[in-house]
Amino acid sequence: MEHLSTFAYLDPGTGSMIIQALVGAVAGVALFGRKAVRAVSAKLGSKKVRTLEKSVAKPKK
Amino acid sequence: MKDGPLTSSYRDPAGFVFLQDNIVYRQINKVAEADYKMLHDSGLYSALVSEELLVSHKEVTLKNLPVDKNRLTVIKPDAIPFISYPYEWSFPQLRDAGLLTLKIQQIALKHGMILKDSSAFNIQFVGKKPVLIDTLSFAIYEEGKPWEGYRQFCEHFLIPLAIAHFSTEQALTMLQTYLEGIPLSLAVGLLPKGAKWHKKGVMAHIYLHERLQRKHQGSGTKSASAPTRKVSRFSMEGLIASLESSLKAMTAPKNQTEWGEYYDFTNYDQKAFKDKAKLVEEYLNSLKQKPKMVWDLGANNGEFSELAAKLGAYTVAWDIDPKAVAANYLKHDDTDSLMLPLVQDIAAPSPSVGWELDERSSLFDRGPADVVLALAIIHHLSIGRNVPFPKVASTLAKIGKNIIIEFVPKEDSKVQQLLASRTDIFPEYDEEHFEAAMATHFKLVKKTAIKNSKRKLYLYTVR
Repeated sequence: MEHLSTFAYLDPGTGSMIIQALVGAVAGVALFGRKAVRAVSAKLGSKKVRTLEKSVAKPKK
Repeated sequence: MKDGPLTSSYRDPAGFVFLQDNIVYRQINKVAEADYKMLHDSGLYSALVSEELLVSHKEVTLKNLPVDKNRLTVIKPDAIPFISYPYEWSFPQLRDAGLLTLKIQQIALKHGMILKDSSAFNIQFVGKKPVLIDTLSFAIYEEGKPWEGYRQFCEHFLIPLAIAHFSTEQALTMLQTYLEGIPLSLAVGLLPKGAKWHKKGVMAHIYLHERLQRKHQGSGTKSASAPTRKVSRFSMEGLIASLESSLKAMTAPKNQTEWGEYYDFTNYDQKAFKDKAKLVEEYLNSLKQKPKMVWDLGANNGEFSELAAKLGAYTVAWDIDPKAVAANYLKHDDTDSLMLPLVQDIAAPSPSVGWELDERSSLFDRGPADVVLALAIIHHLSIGRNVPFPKVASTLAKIGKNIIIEFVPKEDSKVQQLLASRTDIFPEYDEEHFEAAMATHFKLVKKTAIKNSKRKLYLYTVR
């Protein structure tokens, strides 16, 4: 695969790659949670869910 | 500038930027063929260009190109009126450039591509709008592969913003020294103790990042930690979202700078102000050739720069105070596309830096402008910074073909303020010496007294 040689012209750093996996996974869950809560609250349009969104999304950000 | 490859364009084997007859072109190398094709075929290029997030280009056939077995094609990107550098941007400009990078990354992922790098130098401002200029930054995304530009993003955007957030915006000029971004290790040393608890993402993207980076330094054998390096698409999207919310949480510090509220508290006579504006407009209109490029030195929040922009000139509004530059940048009106606010200390102007001192151009190399406005700045240079008139005149001759300059005499209250706390060692600070110094480089075209003040406005044209 020739194009890989241009893909890798930066040195990403081993530590940088590991932290991405860690932070990305946690942040991915948070993002997914926010999206899910938003989808549910959009459907129900209830205040309860909107407060729930705040309490769920905040600590995970 | 000379024809040939630009001295700043050597890092990426995918291609390079070159100049021919003063027009900027980008060569795409064969090695980047798959990526370049995918950029167009996936619809990513049109998605980005239609939103003005990426500079648009046309493929061209040029005659007289040297033989190059690596060349796939040549593109001609839309011209950027004035090239600026991250160390000349105010806080919100750097933040917007970072947010643009992340937005593009999100759109790229949707099209099966990824930004392989995230250098702040890949962003330019066209007026007040940031745009990505590196068409070759896109690579085909392979799920599981981490973002190679992640550390670069932290060091070019998140870290300088965090340091400025916790200290002052002046910290952003550090980027002139750290052209590859502010290193993680330096950030950890500079940020205050509580920083990691006080701002979103600082703990993860700076402190943990630095720790892991330090731990794994030199242990980079290919197989060592390969399994942990997988970053799923799910995580990649999370990572980008997390960086986005960290950047959005970074705000400019609230400390007061010298000029932040200049026009608010000044007792500047309204009549004099209006008369000055009228004269500047008159002078600009009187030029035989309509100016295309105007530099306003000491532009503050751009009040007078707007006069030039309204005449259709691309106007770079320089000021030493990052808060004034930010205020100008955040102000929106019909001159937005022609107004570029930038930070600059004319007494220590941006130098040529980088490889062979030739990678990023000095302020002088990016001139001269058709017109330089130097309004209410002479006393700050000659008394505030001890720069004698002949030296001011010689700098002006380097950066402008025509100069509209205001002379502020010693009896003016602003000059008296500067002299209040120091001995007056400036016996030659008067109109006569000022005019004599200017006369060595310029021809006097106009001279008018500004009403309701003791100030004078001059129009000079270079000899």
